[in-house]
Amino acid sequence: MINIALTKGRLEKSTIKLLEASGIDCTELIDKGRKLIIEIDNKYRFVFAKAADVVTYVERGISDVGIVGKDTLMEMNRPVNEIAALPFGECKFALATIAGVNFYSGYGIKTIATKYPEVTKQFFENKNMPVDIIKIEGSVELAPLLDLADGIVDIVETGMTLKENGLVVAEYLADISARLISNPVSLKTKKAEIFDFCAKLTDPVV
Amino acid sequence: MKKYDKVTPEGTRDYLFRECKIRRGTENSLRKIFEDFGYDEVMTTSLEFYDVFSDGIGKMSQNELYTLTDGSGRLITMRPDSTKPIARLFASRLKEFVLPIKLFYSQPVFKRNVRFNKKFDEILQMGVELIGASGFRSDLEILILAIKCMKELFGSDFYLEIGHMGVITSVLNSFSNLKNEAKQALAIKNFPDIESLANQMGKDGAVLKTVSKLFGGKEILLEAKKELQDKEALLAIKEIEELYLALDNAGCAENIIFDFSVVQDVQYYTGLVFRGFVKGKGMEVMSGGRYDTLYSDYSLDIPAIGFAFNINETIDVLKKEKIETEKPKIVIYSSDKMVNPMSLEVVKQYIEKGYSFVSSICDTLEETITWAKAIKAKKIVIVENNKLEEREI
Repeated sequence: MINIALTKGRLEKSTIKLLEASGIDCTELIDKGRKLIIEIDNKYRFVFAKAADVVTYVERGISDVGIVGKDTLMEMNRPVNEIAALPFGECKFALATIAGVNFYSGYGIKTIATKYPEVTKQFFENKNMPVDIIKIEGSVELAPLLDLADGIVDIVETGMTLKENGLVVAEYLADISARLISNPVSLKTKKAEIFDFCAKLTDPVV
Repeated sequence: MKKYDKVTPEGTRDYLFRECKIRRGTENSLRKIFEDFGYDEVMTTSLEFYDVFSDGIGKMSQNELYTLTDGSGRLITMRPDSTKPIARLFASRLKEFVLPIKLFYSQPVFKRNVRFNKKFDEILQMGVELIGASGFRSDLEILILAIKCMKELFGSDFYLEIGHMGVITSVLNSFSNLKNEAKQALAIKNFPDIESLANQMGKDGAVLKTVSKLFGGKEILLEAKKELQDKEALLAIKEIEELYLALDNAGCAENIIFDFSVVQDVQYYTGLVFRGFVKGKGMEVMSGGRYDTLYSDYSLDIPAIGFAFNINETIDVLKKEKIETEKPKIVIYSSDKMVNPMSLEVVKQYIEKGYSFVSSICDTLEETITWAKAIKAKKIVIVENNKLEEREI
């Protein structure tokens, strides 16, 4: 039996699609109702959690493996293994500013609004550029429009939201996609099961 | 009103009653094994100069250290590890001793952790240092000692993972400019990153992918010999194979697993490395290895090997499993305030029978009974005119 933590929300549909394609019967995952823990075939025990909690459960070994976005992994920077990049949830971390403004001009300290303060801090530390970072919980695009910040760091899929709000990408930070992660001890003690699960996901029987 | 006068800082805690018993019990059983193997105890100071950890092979990351300043404004750090302080101790006071020296320690270390993650900032570390010995015999002794400790604490519910830094070091030699990235990717086994680094290296990169999967049971030994060509790597694997044979002969090989792609958090390991896992726990409880270059921080060419248990994480496992039966309590009350019952000869007999005696310091029998009930005592013994009367509660 392996314990698997899945991310609710943005990645949920694609995750289930991939599991189905790999030959796992997902009826119960789709019609889960209010159930939080779902066992399938006496082989897999699935739980659904918020992205950051997936990382926490895997880090502590409560779940052996998990499926979560690279954005969350980069922000949390916890000691979990990345077993495979999965073919969904693809997007990019980007620094965006109001169109027509050169973000890097002038000597004034810039303010960045973001849901990802750690990623942002790392990025500007590597540039040796002091910035003020403001943590925002949602609709990050608002911040530069309302003059709360000079720019934002966020994940960008199509760029439509940015465009509609008159923002442009100033720089890309990193590529993001969903990842299969594992607990470092589980990887050792359940290697065959975890690699078998990984093979199922990465070579789906179409 | 003070805000922080009733709580302890994050990552620290007080230990009470049964928690202390389990902690002391664990300490005592490890201490006994260390002493049986002829290791002598040292205690190093809790406060070290920051210089001990500021650079060199034993460098510690600044954001993990608790630092303060001394009376002269010099930077001090709370000991984050015991191995480097023992190297310092050796360099200053043990240099003239005949080698090898076998030492053990049992002392807290202090490290800053990510908040809200149930990690300990104050960790009781117990471990050994075998200083001034390289080669097979010292590796074997340390492994046998480590396995003995794991067995004592966890029965057969554990894994001891062994590996050798020589494999990674030789594999990474060809990765000149991507060495650090490759090391990092291996350390946390980030397979997508390993794949992309391997691809960047072209033909030379394939070995990185191969080595990253070289972990598992004893079949990995064969696989490693088959898959790797590098001479140095093969030598390292041969060393591990020989150790495994010797451990098998000693009857302690059944819990051994291997990892030839291992890169430990601690940067100073050079040869054999190993870790202890407990079934059902997602974190290691013990780690160790060989560090033949650490003493070069003190311009000494002294090889050394050792390991340390994280007693906090160890107890976390034991707490759930071992429930020790406590001695039954008996409350003893003397009606004469001039007689403290603990001074009476007759009490000794009860103690020998395995009871835990608690003397009542209440002024009346009624108060004593209430108190005895509260502490869940089995009986009350009342002393009056040198006579004893037993009463059930």
